[in-house]
Amino acid sequence: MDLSRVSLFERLTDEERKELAGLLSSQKYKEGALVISQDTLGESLFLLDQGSVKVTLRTDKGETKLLNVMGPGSFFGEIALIEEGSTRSASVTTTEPSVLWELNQKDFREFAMANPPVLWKVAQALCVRLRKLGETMAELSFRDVPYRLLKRLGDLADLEKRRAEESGEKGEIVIRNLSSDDLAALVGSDRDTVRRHLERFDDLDLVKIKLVRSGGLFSRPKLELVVQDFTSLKRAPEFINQW
Amino acid sequence: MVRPSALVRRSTKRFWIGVPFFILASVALCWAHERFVSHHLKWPLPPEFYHFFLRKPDQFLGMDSNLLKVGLAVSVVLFFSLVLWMFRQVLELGFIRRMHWAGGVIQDIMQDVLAFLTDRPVRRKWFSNFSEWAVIFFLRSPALVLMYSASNDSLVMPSYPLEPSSAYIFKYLQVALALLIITQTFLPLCGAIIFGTWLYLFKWGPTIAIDAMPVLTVAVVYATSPWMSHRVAITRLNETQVRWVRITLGAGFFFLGWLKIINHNLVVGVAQNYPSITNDPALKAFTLLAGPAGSSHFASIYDLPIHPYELAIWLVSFALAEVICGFMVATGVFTRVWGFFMVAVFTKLMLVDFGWSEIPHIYPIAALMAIVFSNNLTGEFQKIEDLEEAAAREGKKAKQMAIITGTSAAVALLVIIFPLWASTHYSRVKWKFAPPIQQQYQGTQAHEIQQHLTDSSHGDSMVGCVHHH
Repeated sequence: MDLSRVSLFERLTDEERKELAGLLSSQKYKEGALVISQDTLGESLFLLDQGSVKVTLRTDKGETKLLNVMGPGSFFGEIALIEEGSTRSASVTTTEPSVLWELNQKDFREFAMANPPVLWKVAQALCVRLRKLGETMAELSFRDVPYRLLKRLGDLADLEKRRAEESGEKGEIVIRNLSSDDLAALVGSDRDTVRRHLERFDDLDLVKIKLVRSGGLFSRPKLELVVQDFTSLKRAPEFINQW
Repeated sequence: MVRPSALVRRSTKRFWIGVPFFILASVALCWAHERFVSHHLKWPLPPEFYHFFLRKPDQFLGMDSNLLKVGLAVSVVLFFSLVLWMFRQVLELGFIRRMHWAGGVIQDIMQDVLAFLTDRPVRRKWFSNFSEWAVIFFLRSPALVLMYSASNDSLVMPSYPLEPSSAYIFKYLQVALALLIITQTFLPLCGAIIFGTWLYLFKWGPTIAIDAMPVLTVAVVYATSPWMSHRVAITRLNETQVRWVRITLGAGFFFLGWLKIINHNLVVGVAQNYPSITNDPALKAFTLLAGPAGSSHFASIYDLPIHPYELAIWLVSFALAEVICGFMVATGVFTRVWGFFMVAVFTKLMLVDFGWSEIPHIYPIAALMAIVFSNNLTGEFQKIEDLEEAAAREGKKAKQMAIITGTSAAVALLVIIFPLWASTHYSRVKWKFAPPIQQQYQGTQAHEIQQHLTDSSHGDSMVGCVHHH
């Protein structure tokens, strides 16, 4: 796997990345496979090479919230690399057939002990993620739902665009496999509010909404959002308050 | 709305005021161990029953070989349970990795099963709902026992009949306490009353107090509840409460198990009156090593045993089963598995073996269910686990194995074998709650066994009885 795609290791030198790549082991997962289970022991970091995964959190009362959707080049389970004996804070499930690379904590520890600067570079990359987390929290506190929804749709469209480019697909950018509840969880709102704003975005020709039932008559419908204009969608959060 | 800080401060202060007050207020006399379930021996115990527990210097550790075999069987179960516990997270990860092909619903179900078995949180709505119901049931179940005791002229537990001259007052006091519990009013006061009554039981010796130890389980929760308990819905136990409930309940059963070996007449009396309790398949596993002596044909309870030690072996198995269950629950090792097993056993005792007489078993069932369905479970071996995990991460597999197997073996020896060995030093002649030998059976055998036990009690050993068999 090309580790330069992974933001966690982008600061490493080529030699360091090459040596680290030798410690990885790959595994194929089918759609809907559980990669990491919440509350289990964390022993390794996962790098997403192909496909996509979703990160979910389940409360004690059984309520499930979608926290994030990730595409190729993403990583998760990084806490296990540093914090020994920790348990997983969320579950990760594939949303399509995927290929993941696994880096064991023990192997990384030995590698980092032999190459101390690596730890510093990894820590810097983790700080970037921490900062993004802070920004997300600030958005949740200070920004309203339309802004957050547009930002998130832009990120998802980015993900689909990169995937299409890597696989050589041409055509429309379509955000798939998400329900209104999933989108609502991602932006910290409720389903009805999200649907209302999506319809408004449809009227503004930012996205086109389609409802798809993939699991039969009684399955919950999933949204398919066809991005009409990628650039407009990415810049829309700047102007949302004017509409 | 009541401020949480005020609730906690006031409850702690008044708890400690309440305890001595209610100890002093309790002036009733009670004599113990006349239960609703008959404990009287229907047939006398043969001399061999006593021989089984005596010291035998010509045998290993001075213990009867069958006694040692049963102890070893239980120790092996304890050893492997602990080893499996230490490896549970690694085994679980390996299992999850191998099952990722399943996906979807199957994988979800397996996740939940694994989480249940390994005491991890089970994050499902139905589990959460049942957990809340179990806590509600647990916090109110003592009221059922109190009402039942009051209507049968007993103190707190049906085991302790009230002295007639003061029964009137204490029956109504129990009803008053039951009403407080049902309505969840002034729970810290209820906790203090229960705790004070338990301390009072020491007046009749530690055996009575040990017998009543499980009642402390709910007292712990009451004492840590807010004073305005009737205004809040207590549907969850926090981590500390669950821990102390687990420890208290488990320790109670642990000591009760050992008490069964020391004060065996009561257990044998129950078995003779209710032979169905001897037909427990789970106990068979512990008697396997004892060979023919352990293969009890339970119809023989009515007659002379086929093997002289049959009854004693069953008793030890029964007692040690309770010991190991209590130990596992107290230390938080596979709490849900062992707790669930105990719920099944108590339910069987209540519904199949004893019937209405043992309805107070609803209380330990409720306590166990509150623990089993909690998502706040912890264990007492965490420090050992941290050590062995650190050794594993450093690549020191030998050290990891040494920590795990060494700890498990040491615990099994200390918790089962050592106390069992120590029990053979106990002079049963001196135990005041065991009926005198003459009352148990007639004939010349009575005189002979009494003579031997009396002779050996001078040196506080039972060596002289070996040859009687």
